[in-house]
Amino acid sequence: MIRIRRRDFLKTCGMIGGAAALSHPFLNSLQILSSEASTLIGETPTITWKPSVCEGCTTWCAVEIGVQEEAGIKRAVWVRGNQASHTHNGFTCPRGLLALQEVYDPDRIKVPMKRTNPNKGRGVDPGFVPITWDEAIDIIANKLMELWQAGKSHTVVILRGRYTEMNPILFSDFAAIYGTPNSISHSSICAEAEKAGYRDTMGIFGYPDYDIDNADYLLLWGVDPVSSNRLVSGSIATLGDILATKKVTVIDPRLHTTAAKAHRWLPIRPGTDGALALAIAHWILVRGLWNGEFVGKVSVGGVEQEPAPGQFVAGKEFTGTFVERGTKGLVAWWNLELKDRTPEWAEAITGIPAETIKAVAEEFANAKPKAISWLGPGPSMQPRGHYAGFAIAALNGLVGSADHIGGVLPWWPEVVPGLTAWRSRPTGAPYGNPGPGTAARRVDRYVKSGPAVPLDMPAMSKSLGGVAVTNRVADAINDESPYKVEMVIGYWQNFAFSCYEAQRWEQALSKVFFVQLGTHACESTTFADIVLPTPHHMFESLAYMVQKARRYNVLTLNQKVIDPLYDVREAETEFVWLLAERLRRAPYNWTPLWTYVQSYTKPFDDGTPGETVGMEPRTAEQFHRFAVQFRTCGSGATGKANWEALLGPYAATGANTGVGNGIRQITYAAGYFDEQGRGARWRNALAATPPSPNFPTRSGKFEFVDVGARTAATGSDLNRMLRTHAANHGVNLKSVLAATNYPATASRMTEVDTDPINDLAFMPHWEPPDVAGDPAVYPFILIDYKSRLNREGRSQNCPWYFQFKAADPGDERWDDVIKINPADAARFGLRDGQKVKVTSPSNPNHGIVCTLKLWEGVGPETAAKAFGQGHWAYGRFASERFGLSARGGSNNHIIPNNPERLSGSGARHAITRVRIEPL
Amino acid sequence: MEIDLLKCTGCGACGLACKAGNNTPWRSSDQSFNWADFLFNTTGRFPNTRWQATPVNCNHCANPACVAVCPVPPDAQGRKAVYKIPAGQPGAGIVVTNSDRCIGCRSCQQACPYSALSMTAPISQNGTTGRAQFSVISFNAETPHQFWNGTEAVIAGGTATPREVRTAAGGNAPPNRTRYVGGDLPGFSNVRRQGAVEKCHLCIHRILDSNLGPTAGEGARRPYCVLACPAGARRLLKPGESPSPGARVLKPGSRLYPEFVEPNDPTAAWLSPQVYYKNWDKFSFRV
Repeated sequence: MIRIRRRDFLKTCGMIGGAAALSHPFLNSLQILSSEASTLIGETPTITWKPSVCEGCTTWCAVEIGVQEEAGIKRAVWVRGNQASHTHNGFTCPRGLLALQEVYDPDRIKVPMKRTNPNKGRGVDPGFVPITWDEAIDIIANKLMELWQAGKSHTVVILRGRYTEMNPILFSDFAAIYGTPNSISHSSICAEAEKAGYRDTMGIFGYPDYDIDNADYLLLWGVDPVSSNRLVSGSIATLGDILATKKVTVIDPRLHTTAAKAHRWLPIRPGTDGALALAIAHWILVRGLWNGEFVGKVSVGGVEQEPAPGQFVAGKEFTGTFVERGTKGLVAWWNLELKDRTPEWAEAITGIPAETIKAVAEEFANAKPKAISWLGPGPSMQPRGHYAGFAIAALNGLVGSADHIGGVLPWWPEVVPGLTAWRSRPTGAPYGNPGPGTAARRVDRYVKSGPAVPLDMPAMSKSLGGVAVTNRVADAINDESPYKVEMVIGYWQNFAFSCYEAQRWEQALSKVFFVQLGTHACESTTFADIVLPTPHHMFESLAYMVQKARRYNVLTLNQKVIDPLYDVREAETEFVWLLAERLRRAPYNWTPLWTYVQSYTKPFDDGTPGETVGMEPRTAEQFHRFAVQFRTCGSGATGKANWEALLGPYAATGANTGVGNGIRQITYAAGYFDEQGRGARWRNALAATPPSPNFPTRSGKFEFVDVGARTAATGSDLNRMLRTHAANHGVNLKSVLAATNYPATASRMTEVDTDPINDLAFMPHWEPPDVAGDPAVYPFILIDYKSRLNREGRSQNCPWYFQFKAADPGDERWDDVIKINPADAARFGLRDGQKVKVTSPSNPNHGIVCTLKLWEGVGPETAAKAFGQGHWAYGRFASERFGLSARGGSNNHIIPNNPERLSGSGARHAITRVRIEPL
Repeated sequence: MEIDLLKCTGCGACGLACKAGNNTPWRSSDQSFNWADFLFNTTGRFPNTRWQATPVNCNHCANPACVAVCPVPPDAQGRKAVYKIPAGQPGAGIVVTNSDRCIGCRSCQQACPYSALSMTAPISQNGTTGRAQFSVISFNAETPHQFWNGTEAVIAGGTATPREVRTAAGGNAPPNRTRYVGGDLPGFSNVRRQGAVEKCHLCIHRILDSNLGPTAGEGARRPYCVLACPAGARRLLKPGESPSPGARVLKPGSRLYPEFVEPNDPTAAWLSPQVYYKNWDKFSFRV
């Protein structure tokens, strides 16, 4: 059969160029011409490319979805990177393509559901029955008002898993207007401890950008950047070139992809990264290899000396004069901690030969300032990971790579420039229903009385108690402390699977009225009273994300590129509108939320018929669209122009900065980096009193330690917050460190806070790990890692996931394996390929079941297993029997809930030993 | 095609791109159905362990064993059920199957030294026994994508069924089915029928699609695996272009782990495989 596309025909006629051509008289000759055209080959209908965002990991790649449309049905058929993106060269990692099986997953929730079986528990049939959205919203509104009228609005908890940048509408504003302090994000089970290391050194509690394109040396700590973390596609794109011309050293107890490709792999004993980082710092100082321009120089007789060997001597305090420039506290750090942290000392702890440590330290420092010490979750997301993360981050100060081209970049230009933030919430009574005292306390505080931030969990961001301790909420609900939680609204989260010691969440979600919004039925869903289907953000929804990478900050629109398959509503916006609309009517007549949603008036003319600029939203869809448009582009003529530019073809708006094709990307202003590559903050840090912009530390410099006058009012954020915390509880610093699970630190400290030895608490130092389990009973330390095919915990119902699971080094297709060294297997009489039960001190009986793999990519006494599988209720492929039994085993069922308490982070590394027995 | 192992990180994007683009079934009936796949292998002892990913797909051999053994008589243009497009014709050198004429005897699958009849039966390579990691050729014992006719829901009435997804996707199975046609290529379709073998056709439907760009083999007119590789490791050689100096080919029989040989090595020269591995010894930079 001979077919021809209209485009081919028009091209043949030389007529490509729009609708006008269609009226041309030549159109009548189609039949004649088509028989002369070549036979059609290729994709038909033609694939059109629609920009959106992949949220399969936190790289948040700008992507384009390949769409074919037939008979009015748009289908997603392929995925590629956004061709205009500077951050990943127009490519995406395998997660982008894997998402096709997520949106077309046969086990997605298609309608709202109501539970009919009041009994809850694993394996208990919830008796879900379909209901309408109206019925569902009625039930939820009624429950919300019942609690509100009883003065119990604070007993409602909002759980946020993955989200878009539209989240403040539900997560913050709805919570505030309704009157609950309980906005609980997943963030602290992600990698908050990673942020702490950068706060303590650079003053930024956040994830920096790593300038891999210009770096000469990568020192990767507990991260495989081509598989996970925040630069996946960019790392894949550049790793080959980096290896060919630069140098890469990987520190990880497991052989991952980058470890396999890198120049050096240092298979460190789990939990000892801090010792290695300190020894590297020690050796850099002993060998005189620090960045003298940035850090400063030794002064002899008033004359500054270039850094040289012998200026710092192992085991000896530095008593000379050091003129410190861009950093603060080097000598204090050396004298109290570093002087004894020799490579030989570290060898005994880490298992890495001293000669290797010295070589790595020298290579890294010789590459200064374009040398990156990349802090991943491995060393920091440990029960005692704080000071290891601090030490690893501090290495960037020694070599002067912080805020330097080819280094670690914690600042980036604003990509939503000059736009109004959010419509403001209505203020005044009756909003903020929770009363004083315990009721105003966020539920993760756990304790009923005393200071708002409990002694054992300072959970510090830039503020004391600033981190919501996600995983503690289960305990708070189970123990009804600080109060009884009545209702939970969770969206795009699955804490009954994704939290450590996840079993506690099964109990917690059984105790409350639970509303779950999401795309898929999951473990948490099985405990829900109301289940609401939401769109897949990559294919079915308008929203936006912001992420930085490779010196760019990028705003990317999520777009509705296909028609939603089911009766879905957006959790973050439309759900709020539906609640507002119901609550304003009788019998509730409760209007504050309505007033708020009505404030999102139509910001500009986007061409939608029947709407006028400035009108209040009349439907959930309008509210949602107006809010996204307002937030991303502003209002009025400027907003309209911004919106049209964003949706139009990509165009440069400056040197390497531009807008269009669904993205807006911006790089640093000219002059931010000088000719040598020094950032403005880097340069300003050299001044005695750094002018703005500077490192947002207390000193404005890169800090190793800053105790100020040893009072709460001065010194680093860490110093300020810990001293305040101690004062709030009427205890000394030593007690705080003891209460937060840093016993070795506490044992070195004294009872008198002003004693100089207590400065230890504010500088990177060695603290041995807290690994649960008696080695005689539990011989293996568990190494948890993220599969490169994990779309967080959500891709395990995709058959392609299993088809390519062996892309994770050592893993097997269509299986879930735990890997141990063959020598250990011989010692314990274990065989390759056998089904095993894996137990831990926190799950000593039931444990998990998976397959044993003997593999030389892990060392003795360790067992590595990817997080992801072990779903017992996530669809027909992820589960062996949905709702009843798991396919494989979930690490979170054997990892105890033992958080890193200074940052409130859920810990998953160097946390538990396991026992492996034949099934 | 040339694959640069220095750049490759073994991420899987090429394999998934092919599955999405060519609508290959997922593993079933003991067949892999991954036209683009990997040989993953670990060597050495801890801590001197090495791990390598080697992307593989049909080698489009100059003297393909699959074509030689195909018992289906040539048609008027000299094409068997698996055939090589002759020089001078569009797509020259690409080895393609004709599903219409395939009799399902699987002789080609047996003859191809890069294929395996079974993904679970033990095979050996240089005395090592194991299971094949991939197979260039797979056989559709069943009608592909029948899964999408299923009417079972994990939560009755609350979650979808395969059939519902298929219906919502306009009847397509799989729902993300990339629809393409093969022009004059006989028995060429975007989902192959039951009873026929299937294999990589180098996305010839893209290479020959002049709507995608002016030059075959360049820009968008390249295979999905090449277009998707985030590392830029895959490259389609231009007609007549020599592979990079020192590039090697996969030794026939490399089904458990990769062995790389010079293109003129007698073990490979009889087939003359046309996928070259640049930097075949530089996947790792370990000192």
